[in-house]
Amino acid sequence: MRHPLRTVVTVSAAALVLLATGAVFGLREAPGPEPSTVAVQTPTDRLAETVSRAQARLRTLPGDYQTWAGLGLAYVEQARVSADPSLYPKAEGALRRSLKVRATDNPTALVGLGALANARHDFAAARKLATDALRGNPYDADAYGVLADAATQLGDAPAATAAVQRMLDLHPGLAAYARASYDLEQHGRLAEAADLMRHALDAAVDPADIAFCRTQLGDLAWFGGDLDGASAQYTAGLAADPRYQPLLRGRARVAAASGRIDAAISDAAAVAARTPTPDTLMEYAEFLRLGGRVDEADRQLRLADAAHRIFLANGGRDDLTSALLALAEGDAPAAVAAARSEWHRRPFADVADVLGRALHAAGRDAEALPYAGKAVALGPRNAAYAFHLAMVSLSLGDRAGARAGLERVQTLNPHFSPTDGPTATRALSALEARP
Amino acid sequence: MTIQPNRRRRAVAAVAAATVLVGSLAGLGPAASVASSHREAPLIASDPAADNTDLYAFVSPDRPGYVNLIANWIPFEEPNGGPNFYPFATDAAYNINVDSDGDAKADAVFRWTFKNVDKRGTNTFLYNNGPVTSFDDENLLFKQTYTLESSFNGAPFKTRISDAPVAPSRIGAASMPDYQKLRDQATVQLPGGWKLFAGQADDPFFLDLRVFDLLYGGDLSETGQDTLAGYNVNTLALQVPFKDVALGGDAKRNPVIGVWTTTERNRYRVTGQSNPQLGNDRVQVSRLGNPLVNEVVVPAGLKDAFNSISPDKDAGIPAVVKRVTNPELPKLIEGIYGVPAPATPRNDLVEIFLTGITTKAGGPIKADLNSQLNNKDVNANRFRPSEMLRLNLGVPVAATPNRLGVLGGDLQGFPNGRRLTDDVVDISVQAVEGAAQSGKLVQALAAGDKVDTNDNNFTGAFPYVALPNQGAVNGGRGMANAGAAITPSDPATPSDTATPSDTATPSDTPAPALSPASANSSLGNSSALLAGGLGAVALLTMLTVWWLLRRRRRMPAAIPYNGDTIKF
Amino acid sequence: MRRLLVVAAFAAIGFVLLPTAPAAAHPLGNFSVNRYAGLTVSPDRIDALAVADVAELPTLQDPPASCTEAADALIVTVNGIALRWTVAGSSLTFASGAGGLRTSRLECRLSAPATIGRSAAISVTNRFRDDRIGWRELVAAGSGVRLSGSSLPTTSVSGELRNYPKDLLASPSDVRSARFTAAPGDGSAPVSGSVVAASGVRPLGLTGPLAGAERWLDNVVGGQRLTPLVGLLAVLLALVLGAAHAALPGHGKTVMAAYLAGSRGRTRDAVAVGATVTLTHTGGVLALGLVLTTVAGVAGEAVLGWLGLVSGALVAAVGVGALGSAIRRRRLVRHRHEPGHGHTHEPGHRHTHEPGHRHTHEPGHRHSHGLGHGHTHGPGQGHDHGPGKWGIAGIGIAGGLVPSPSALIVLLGAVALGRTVFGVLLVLAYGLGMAATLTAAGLLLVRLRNRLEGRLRFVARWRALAPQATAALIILVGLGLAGRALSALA
Repeated sequence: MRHPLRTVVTVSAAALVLLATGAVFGLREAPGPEPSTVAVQTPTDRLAETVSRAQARLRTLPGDYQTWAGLGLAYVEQARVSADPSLYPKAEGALRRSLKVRATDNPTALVGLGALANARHDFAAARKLATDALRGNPYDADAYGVLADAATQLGDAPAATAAVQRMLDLHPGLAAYARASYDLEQHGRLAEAADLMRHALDAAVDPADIAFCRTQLGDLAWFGGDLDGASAQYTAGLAADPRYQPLLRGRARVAAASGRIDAAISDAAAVAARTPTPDTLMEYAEFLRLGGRVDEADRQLRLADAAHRIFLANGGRDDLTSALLALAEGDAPAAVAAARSEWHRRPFADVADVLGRALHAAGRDAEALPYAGKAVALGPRNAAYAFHLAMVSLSLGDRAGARAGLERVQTLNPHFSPTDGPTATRALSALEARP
Repeated sequence: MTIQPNRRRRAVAAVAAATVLVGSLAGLGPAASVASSHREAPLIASDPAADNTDLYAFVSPDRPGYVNLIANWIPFEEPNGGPNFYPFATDAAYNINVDSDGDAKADAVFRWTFKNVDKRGTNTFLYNNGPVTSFDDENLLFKQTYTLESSFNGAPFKTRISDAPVAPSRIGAASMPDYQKLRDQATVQLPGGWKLFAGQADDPFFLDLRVFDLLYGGDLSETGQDTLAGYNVNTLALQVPFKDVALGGDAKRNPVIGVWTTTERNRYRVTGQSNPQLGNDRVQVSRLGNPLVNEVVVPAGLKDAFNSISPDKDAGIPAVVKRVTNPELPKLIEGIYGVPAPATPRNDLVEIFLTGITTKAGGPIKADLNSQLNNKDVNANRFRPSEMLRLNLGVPVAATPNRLGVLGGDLQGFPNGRRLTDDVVDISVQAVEGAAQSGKLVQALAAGDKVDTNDNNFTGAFPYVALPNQGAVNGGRGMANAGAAITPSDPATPSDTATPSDTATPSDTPAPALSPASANSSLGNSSALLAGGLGAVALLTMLTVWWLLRRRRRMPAAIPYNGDTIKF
Repeated sequence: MRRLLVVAAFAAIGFVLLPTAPAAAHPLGNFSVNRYAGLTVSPDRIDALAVADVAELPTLQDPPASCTEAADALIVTVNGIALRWTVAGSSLTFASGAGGLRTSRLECRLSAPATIGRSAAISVTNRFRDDRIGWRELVAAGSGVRLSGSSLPTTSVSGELRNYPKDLLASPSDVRSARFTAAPGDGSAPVSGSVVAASGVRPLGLTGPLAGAERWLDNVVGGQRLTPLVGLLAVLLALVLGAAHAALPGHGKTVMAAYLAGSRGRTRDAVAVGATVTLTHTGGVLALGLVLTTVAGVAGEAVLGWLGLVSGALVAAVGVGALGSAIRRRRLVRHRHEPGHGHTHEPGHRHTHEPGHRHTHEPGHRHSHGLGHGHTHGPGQGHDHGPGKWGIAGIGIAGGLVPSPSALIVLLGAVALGRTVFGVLLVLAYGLGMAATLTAAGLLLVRLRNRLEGRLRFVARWRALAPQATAALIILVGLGLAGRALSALA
């Protein structure tokens, strides 16, 4: 610096000018008037309130790993309720952020990731995450919930029941009751399952939770052949939450079973539009076929195929759906391969049933018999399983066994399927005519 | 330096790159689509009715010989929180437990159970269809009643009153023009002298919850606002004579009682028996004794454990005991504010939280205040440390209560029981910093959370809590005051007036933004041009200066070299 | 050098192949239908831009979206009377999505006459394919008309459904209807308060007192009462913030340090770098602010991402150049340099320098120095190599290229509220603060290095290696910056 004094003077002068201009100009320009915020106080559900409160808190306190984990769990819950898959990446982001803030001793985040894994059908990962979470917090009822869900789908019934009981021992409430009810249903105790689900309904607070309980009660009633009871439950549920999709699916099933195909088609169409997953699209296709609209039915099957392709392209894996799609399209060998692959991963009742159906469709009835039998053993009150076993028996020439099975179908739920129900009835009459 | 390719290093680099690739590919999951749904049940279904928030225990200032036990549930009740408002759970039992002999097991249990009286059917969700002037008004479509049972010293439960009225949620002035009448109807006196109240009330707790943001990286810079101002709670209040809770009925010999509340539901068994059913044994779903135990002592990871176990099991869970003897909060305060943390193990906290302040347990606070060990008829061998609120019935009522309780020299205050006016946050922070042991307040934290009184005044008579607020909680406090950390099991939480919802209503949060040039007035346009122009000028200036300097250096200057020459 | 190139090549391949999963799937889910409607209210008509971004499955499931459908679904009433739209322009484009399917995008420009008069109550509802889940966004702005009571923003948060914000703390937009009043006047009444701009730019995640200071500054910019004292404090605070911001990681301090330390930089060099960074930064903020203000639909975050990429690439290039020159210098055989020797050097001429070598120019002695120049010296003649001019400029520009989001937000907020000059002043003060810190850092480094010179032997050995090592470091930093920006963009 050659002329320090000069430099200092220049800099000071410049600074003063800067500051003075700032003061003057800042004063002169006033901003426009603020508009009044439209504060609409609507009765939102508590889940949405939890989410928005968590979001607000995390903006100012990003180190709160507990709230990050809670937000992640809430997003997973919202995704389930609204069937909006764009919430899954958000949930994952929030949960990973929680783990980033606190990597160890953070069981809540692990539970959240487990719930997310369940939603994405990665049951093995969910089980591992839940187990890890329980190591950190053995009193966490939510972790037992995740574990129960994963164990059920993996076909590990004793572990599932044990986890459900632990959940009931720690925090009896809607979540525990719902899972216990499903566990009882899996064991064929439909009456107790319904009782417990009614208990859960009393504990339900959010409209979506009320709708969930009503859906399960309706499904249980339908499962037991009680169409009117099912219809009443679905209607009551829709009064609480008119947009809850499983209620519409239930209502469509009841309509189809009652012969009101057009009502069934319109409900199924709404569901397929809102949640175009392979199973809803296949159901829509089935109703369309029943209504005689074969071309449209085929189109929906193609859409179901596309939806499944997208799911696979996104890294997902669900051979059960692949098998069902293949069956719907009549491609038996592909169905067998997919079902077998899923069976190796998880020996669950549904999977056994589909594998049996696939083998039956491929004409390999001798191989199909044990799987169909296993499905019935795992789900003794399931009319669809009984029907499939009866059909396999019939193909193998066991008319007595087939007749017993078909009679069982009539006892359990003659409306189990709008397509196969009439088939079952006809087959039974044929067998009774010529034993 | 050799130039030959170093094969080993290249191999390492290749492996590293490959690992990165494989790892990222493998990490892909089904990110954005939904598979066919297996049965998906709710996981974090909200259960606010089981969430107990506060317990107060204090001797009646206006009725000598009687003790008040007041317990609250369901925090953050919005006064406008329709359509179901805030009923007590009908499948749960709400208990106030009293332990008078120090064995950490309840000697007196008061149990409330509730029933709905719902005239709505499935036609309507409205709470009322006209002004409600009394509990029996036919315009009140939904209300609750309760049954109170009590059990002393293990005897079977006796019903004290059944189908008593619960004061309904305060909906608003139009619907409930005289709420005081509803409150009076819900305040009953039993023949034996007991007084009872059940119903909604103003939340008497006053604190700035942001104080506990310390645990998550926050600081004490923003305090002074009562986070709970304007919210309501559901209250159960009980006023009983000393003889009904003291050991042996003698409050002179055995003045100390320990109190805690629990919520229970019946246990459902799916395993181990032929008939799955709702049994008679109960599961404890939540528990509360001293206030702020979850914030000050028990960390989030142990909250579930703490809620499930009964007090007699506390001493057996080493993790809980360790949190009392080695608490986290003083270390955080020391890290941020430089106030030295008292030396561990914190046996003074053990005295305050787990045994009661007494000289008989070998603790550092040498005073006999509120431990069951000071009851004359207590067998000291059966005493077990446990977390509960301990009250000495023999301490006389203070003429002018000090909000800092025992630390402020007022022996009738917290932690000797808890009065509605005790500022438990300040007391707890001071205690956790060692003020109880040293006898001196820590000056650096003297301001505490800067919330010293409740937003509403307490009434002078039973049930002492103020009437519930009506009208929306003022949302002008902004989103920053969002309150405590949220865990998945947390119940309903406040919605500020700007709450986006996914129903068909407009989003309320205005998203401030810029206006496109086309929409702006001429002033906006020129401002933008001005800004851009200045930017361009700045860049040009820089380039020019640089070029000029470069030009200067080009000339062969006979300058003797010095260290400041620029070499461009 | 080759080693570095190999590593760099692998890194590049890695970055390129890094799957941005699921790359082709619609960001909001494969069965979403996302809708946007932006109204511009003029005194005599209302224009609307209706956009629908349809994901893979609805594109396949439903008939292609049309502007008739969009116009029917967009219900705007003025004083209770619904408008009848005429379609002024429409476009329907398809793009490839996941699973071999296509997504579609419909844009419709609609217009309808409307009389605002003294004031008009306007309500808008968008029911486009209401049975589908998806993003629902409404925007309203006035042109020659003032809107009051509008909870709608004036520009799109998602860039008209091009870039959905990835904020973990924001639920997907679900605005289906709104009401407001319109009256003739100047522009729409903008909403003050915190300026999380429509461009998606967010402040740095500073915590503690700095974050509080930033918030205070935002509030001052947007506050009603701005006294001279407050304005003064705000400018001072901007200075401090700029200084603090420059102290945080970023802005090329590492690079500058390495460069100056390793390449015998001078005090003036440090000052020059500091000044360059500041000017570039200030200019960048102002320029970007202009772009974001005038051009709707530019996603600020994306621009910042690209700038980060360019900055990183620039730094890497500077590093490569430095490395090249360093290596060339080392390879040259030492030879002497006679005085009076006039010569030119081509690049590639190599030799080594002993430390402490000095060099003066006699009159008439001319050197042309290319980039990474090398030449020989005789004893008694030394030539200190400062960083090349391109090096300084490169580092300075790279350091200042990525505008700080905080400064950007302050500027945007001020512009939105009509306090443009104040905003510019704050940005200038911010830049001066940055300059101060960077220059100080550079000066400190230079002084340190000068002190340590010749003191310790390991320093001498380090100096021998330093040019290559620092050049390698600069390359790595540059690649890292570029890579990070790339991943943020993807």
